[in-house]
Amino acid sequence: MKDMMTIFRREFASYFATPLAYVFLVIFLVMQGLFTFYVGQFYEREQADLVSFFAYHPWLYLFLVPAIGMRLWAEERKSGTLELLLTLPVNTGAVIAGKYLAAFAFTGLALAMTLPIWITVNWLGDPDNGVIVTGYLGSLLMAGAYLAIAAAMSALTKNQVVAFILAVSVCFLFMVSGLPMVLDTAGGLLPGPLVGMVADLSFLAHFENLQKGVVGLSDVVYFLTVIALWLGINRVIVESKREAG
Amino acid sequence: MGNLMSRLTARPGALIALMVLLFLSVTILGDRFLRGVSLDLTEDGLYTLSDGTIETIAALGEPVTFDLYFSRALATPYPQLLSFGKRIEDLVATLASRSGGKIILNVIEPEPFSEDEDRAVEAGLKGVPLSDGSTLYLGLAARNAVDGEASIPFFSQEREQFLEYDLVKLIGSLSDAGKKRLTLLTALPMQFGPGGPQAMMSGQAQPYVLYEQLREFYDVQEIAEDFTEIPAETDVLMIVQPPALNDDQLFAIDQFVLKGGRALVFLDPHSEAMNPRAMEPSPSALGVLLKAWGVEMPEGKVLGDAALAQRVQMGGYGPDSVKDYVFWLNIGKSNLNADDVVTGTVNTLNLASTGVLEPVEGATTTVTPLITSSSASMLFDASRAVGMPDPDGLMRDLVSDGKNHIIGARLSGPAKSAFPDRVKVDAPTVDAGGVAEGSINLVLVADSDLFDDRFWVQVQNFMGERMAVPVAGNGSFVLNLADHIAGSEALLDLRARGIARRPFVKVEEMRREADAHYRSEEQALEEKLQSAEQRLAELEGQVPEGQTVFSPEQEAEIERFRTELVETRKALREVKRELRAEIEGLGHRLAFINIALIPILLVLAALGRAYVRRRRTAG
Repeated sequence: MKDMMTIFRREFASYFATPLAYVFLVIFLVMQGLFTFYVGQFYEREQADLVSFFAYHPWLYLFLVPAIGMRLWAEERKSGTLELLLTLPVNTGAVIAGKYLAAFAFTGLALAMTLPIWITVNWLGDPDNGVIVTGYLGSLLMAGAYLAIAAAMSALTKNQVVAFILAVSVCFLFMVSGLPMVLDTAGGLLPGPLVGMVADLSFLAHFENLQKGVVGLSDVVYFLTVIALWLGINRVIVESKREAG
Repeated sequence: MGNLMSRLTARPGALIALMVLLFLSVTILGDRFLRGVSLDLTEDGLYTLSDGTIETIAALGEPVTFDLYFSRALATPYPQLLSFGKRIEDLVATLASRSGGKIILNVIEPEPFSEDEDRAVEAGLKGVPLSDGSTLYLGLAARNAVDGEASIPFFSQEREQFLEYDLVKLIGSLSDAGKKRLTLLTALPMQFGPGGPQAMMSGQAQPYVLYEQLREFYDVQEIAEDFTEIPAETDVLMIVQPPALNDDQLFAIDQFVLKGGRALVFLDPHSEAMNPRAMEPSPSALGVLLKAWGVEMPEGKVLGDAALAQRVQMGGYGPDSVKDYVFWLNIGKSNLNADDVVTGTVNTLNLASTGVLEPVEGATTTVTPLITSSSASMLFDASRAVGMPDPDGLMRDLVSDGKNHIIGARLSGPAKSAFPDRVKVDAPTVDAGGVAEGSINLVLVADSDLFDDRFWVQVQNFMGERMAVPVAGNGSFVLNLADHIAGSEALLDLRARGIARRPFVKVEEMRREADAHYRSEEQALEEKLQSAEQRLAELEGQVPEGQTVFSPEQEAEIERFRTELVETRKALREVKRELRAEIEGLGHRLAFINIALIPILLVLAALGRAYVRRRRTAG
């Protein structure tokens, strides 16, 4: 636990060592604002809710979260510090958790900076804040799931760009598996129950469930399982590299 | 085993495969067994069973069987439909689990061309045909041990927020025996819709949605305009825009109410539902009765309210064609009595050309307001509400009298008969039936248009089934009133759930303020425009005799007026543009704050940090 916190602090601070973190935050905030106001027509709809704000999060995260996660391991491998890190008397699990949590905290920070929209909607009207709370929770959980995938992909390669592309691809699969056109095609190839399974695996369905103001245990468990799976894969990859390395 | 594990861990591929398998099973099991375990954070508890529902299922006398038909596999390609179906499953399962075994639930996935599908059709379910020829079902058939049967043919997603209500209603409709008697007296074409009985004969009858809803819950018995008595077994007497009644009929109502009969009365200084194109007001009244009940409704007066005015589209589709119409009221929470068990659960009401109720001084009854106007209101002559009303003119003429007028109220307590002489003459003894006084309990509303579909509900045709999607709580209001006044309150909490519209209050306020601010300016300019046009026409008509052209002076004058005309028009357009610009401006400012403010602060913070660091290294 102590090791994990040390790693967490080191990682989290390292985000702000370069201007990259600021660039990332600015891009994220500007993009979400543009989508909310100009694509989602937040103001023109005149409805006191954040539907048009959350609606684009799955797509925004698709590119932005892999960008946060790509350097987690790839950078260490490239600079050769990974070997050093792994020779330290620290549990691999603690390293993985610490790094992941640092990136997750950074993502949470980015999301927290969207607070003005929450204030705006409360100033304009009388929204159901319970629904907004679950919306944020769903958004954070989904970002966490994307990030776990990105972390695992980052461990596969020394090249951050390759890590980014791999992560976007896998995240994309997890997202589109719930889209009607994909399921329609899958329906032609797979038996019914399997198609249902593919649909269950989609980020979108679980994210949307959380947009309604109800925190369903099954949705929370789903995102936590996705995170656990990819962090597990992350660990297997890192350990196999250590043995190979 | 340990050996196997160590061999597995030595092979990353196998380990990952194992983890994926574990992940898949947890996901699938989670979807099956954890659903329904949830925390409802919505303000109105939209996803939590309400007390009324729990009461209703607890009061079930005999077991009820629910057959939920859901073509899950067919719904899979449509994620929204799938999750909606799952939500219904969850809700029905929760109902069943809370019923203490009274509700037996079967979830059936009808395979195409199977016996299950036949049974679904038999139970009255309606499927949606899909492109590949199969049919998707999402409906519920309910039956009890006797022979009560009822069904929801297809759950419409538009009614998602009324799911619970629809289900409880379904349970209620299984035992028709318990229906209360509602006696209806009305001159409105409720039974046949706008076309009247002729429409029915040509197969075009579209009964009022509210009338249909009343019939679902009540044994509705209409009494004709020449009625001589109120049926003895009446539980609720509902009078909506009554025809002109004679003294005998009024006396019958008087006696019914005084003897403890419950009544809901909807009168109107001008009923738009009677004839939308009327050139004369269509009022309704109950003569001397109102005064005996302790209120008066000023005759021929219609309430105009600037703050509650609905925005209506009047001629054309441009942004200028949307206007505030002071006779059509959109009553929100703040103008509904929050303490009353009925209005407390209604969020919005749409009314049209309403009257007002004024308590009579020295009355013995208690008048409890249910619906009130805002203070930005006044009474207009009812003739202004007929023909082609002029929204702008009405808004201009509205000078607030500062009063919160009562539009609807409960009237209760001791009252005297409006016909004291008759009581003596017709029924010398109390035993014979006539009473001179008694305790009354009724609700009086100075509007009857709230029954008209066009003011509160969108009716859609869904595969031959009329589907009503309310845009205001009129239906809830009337049904709740009837329910409440008839004594059964189990369904009370359910009806108004989920109609909450959450508009941008700020923007609406601004719009109203801007409207008021620019209206006088607009009016002055319009008058100027008119006089210029008039003057120009006069001049152009004054071609001197024997001459075909104007004198140079005249031409100069005409030219001057033309320029003035053009400029006035421009100014008028400018005023209208400013009206919109203010609201759009706020939108731009908010967009800027939300898009750029934090990023700018971030950049400043980064620059500041870099500067400090450089100073430090330099130092």
